[in-house]
Amino acid sequence: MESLFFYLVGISVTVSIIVVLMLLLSSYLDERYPVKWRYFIWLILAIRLVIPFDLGFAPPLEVKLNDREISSRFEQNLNGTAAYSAAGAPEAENPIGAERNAATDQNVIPRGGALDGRAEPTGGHGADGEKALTVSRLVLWVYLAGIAVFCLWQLGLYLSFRFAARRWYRDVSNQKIWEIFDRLKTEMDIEKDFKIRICRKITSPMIAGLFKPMLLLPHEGYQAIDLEIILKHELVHFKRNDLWFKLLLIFANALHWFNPFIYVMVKKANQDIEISCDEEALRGADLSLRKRYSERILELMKGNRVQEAPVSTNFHGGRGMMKNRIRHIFDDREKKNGVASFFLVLILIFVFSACRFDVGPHQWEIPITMGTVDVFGLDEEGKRASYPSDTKIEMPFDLDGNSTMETMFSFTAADDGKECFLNYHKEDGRTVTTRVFDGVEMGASYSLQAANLDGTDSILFLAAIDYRGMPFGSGAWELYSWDGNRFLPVDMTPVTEGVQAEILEQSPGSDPVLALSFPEGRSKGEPGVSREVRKIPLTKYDEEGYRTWGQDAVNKIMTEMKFVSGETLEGRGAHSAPLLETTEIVFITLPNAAATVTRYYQYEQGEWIPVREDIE
Amino acid sequence: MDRKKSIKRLPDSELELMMIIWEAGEPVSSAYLMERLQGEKDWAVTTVLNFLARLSERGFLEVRKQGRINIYSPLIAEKDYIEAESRSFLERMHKSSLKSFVAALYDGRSISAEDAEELKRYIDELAKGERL
Repeated sequence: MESLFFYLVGISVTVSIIVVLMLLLSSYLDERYPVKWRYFIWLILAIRLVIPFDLGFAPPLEVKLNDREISSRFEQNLNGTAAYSAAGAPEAENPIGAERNAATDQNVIPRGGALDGRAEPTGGHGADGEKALTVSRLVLWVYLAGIAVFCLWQLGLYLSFRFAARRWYRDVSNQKIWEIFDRLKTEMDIEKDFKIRICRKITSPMIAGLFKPMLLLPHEGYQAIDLEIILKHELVHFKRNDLWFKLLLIFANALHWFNPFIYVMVKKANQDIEISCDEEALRGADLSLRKRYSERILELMKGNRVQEAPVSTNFHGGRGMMKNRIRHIFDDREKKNGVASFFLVLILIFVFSACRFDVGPHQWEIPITMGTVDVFGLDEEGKRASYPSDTKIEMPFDLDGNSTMETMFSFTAADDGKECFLNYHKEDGRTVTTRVFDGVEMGASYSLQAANLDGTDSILFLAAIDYRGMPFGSGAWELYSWDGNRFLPVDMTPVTEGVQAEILEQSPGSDPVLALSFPEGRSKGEPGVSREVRKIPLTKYDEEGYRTWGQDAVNKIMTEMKFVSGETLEGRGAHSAPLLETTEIVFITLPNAAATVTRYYQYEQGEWIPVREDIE
Repeated sequence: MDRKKSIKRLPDSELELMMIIWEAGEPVSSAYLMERLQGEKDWAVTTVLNFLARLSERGFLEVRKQGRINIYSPLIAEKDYIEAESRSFLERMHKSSLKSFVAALYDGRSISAEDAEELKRYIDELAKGERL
């Protein structure tokens, strides 16, 4: 929807270019070609203006604009506090301000084994599930409001005119008017029935009404010869459907109300409608008739003056325009049909029609990608040896779909992984860098994964540290979304706190069981209703541990996070977009796991939506 | 000018009568009005007399007794009334919308007397075939 406006802006710009060309060339065109061709060019331009689509006649000259969220900062703070209160009691003594500072800082994912520790909430890009207020959306609303105001204004004035004029309508008593009118209609092959009304209120003869046309005359005291000219002019308008043309112009003007060139164009088009109508009505007329015709029009202009003296005494624009019209009235030279230049303009319109401004959702489609790098390993003697030179993961992508890998991302782990960075290498050679894993313990192996987790308008990067912890493995993870320019941390609290484990004694004397539950609250931070999923009997050792340590004996450890294709899941949870897969081990006494929980999350507009759990 | 400004907008029915009187171009009797109204409005005589009384109260009509019948003549010219009605902001704005919705012989703004003179001269020149 937002892109509609930007399409129209593109059309507006290209049509404006042609309008300017037409104005610059107007005297040249005037000399050589009948006004009729200008009339058709305006018609084509007006049609172009109201079709908000790419006609696809030429490759688009695209101007890509980056959209921005106006309220992201505000929402970020909001999210920060919301997640803070949801994160719950353990941090309650922290002043809110401090928590917020933390929120704007880095996103620190609790490492393995410390899952019930604090997780710092971070408002990420589009972290709010609601539709965010973006620049393009605001512009769209202003634009639509402008159209509404323009239409109401124009239509209101017209209807109010019809209403004010109606009470002045009189029937025609001069039978000559009907006689001449009917004769002209027959001559011009017009079958439509007209009403003719005399209305003292108006100053010029006119035709009004699209479906039930009505001829309005200011009075009926015309001479026969004048009636002939006047009625013919009006019937030519009718025959050429000029009222529809005018409606099209006003509609185009409404859609492009923000563009001053379109106002100029509409004004010029209305003038050319008149001039070309004169041209048509006077075809074959002699000089004296042309003179009479222009004198009648001049009378109308003078007639107007009586009534609106206060506003228009200092208005001189009418003279030049009128001179032009009179000049055309007397111009009875045969002119070549401007077929060639007409088609030239046609081609220009189609060529330029493809120019457009595009904003909003980017389209980046990438496969799920993963790269891993070890920062140290074991040498032949089994001692730890670091690989200082090889600590970079590079990920080139073809985001604009032109088959060159023009967009380069990389992950670097410098100094044995003490300093890690996520980089975006711009085409101009500059690099956008974000520090990741700040203050997080170094690991043995680092990996970077990328996927269109949240649709194709962003790319998510999952940076992971593998600690090679025994016996299940352990790691640390941070997730960033890339918006075309920057990396924005994504809050993973709902994922890392997604599993609750505790030991239940169902009734005194019976065996305690391990109960796993999954709160349904999402990123909004509401605790949600616990959904009890599975009760697992305890082994003898586990039960012993529980008798000794109580609930403290229950431990959870996140061992793996990775992007997986949603299609690989069968049945429930099958999904077209990629998903985040997490593996969490719940244990009481080592080395056996009491349960292994594998969960799949969909990430949509800042919300983590669990789609499936597998428990072993 | 002040008097013109004080001209009040007439209701439709009274305007209908005024339009007949203006059109007649001479003082008229109520019988003439009844005749002209025939076929258009089925107003009773008393209704018409009522409207006429109100119009003279408003200062639109002068009533003279001629024997047993009343003769009505307009006190406000049609041109002045139309001008007064058209002076409202809304009606002035109508012109701007007309261009877009009706096909008129001339729907532009009016011009000054000097400009009209100049255009007249221009027409005459062209008619003699002097320019172009």
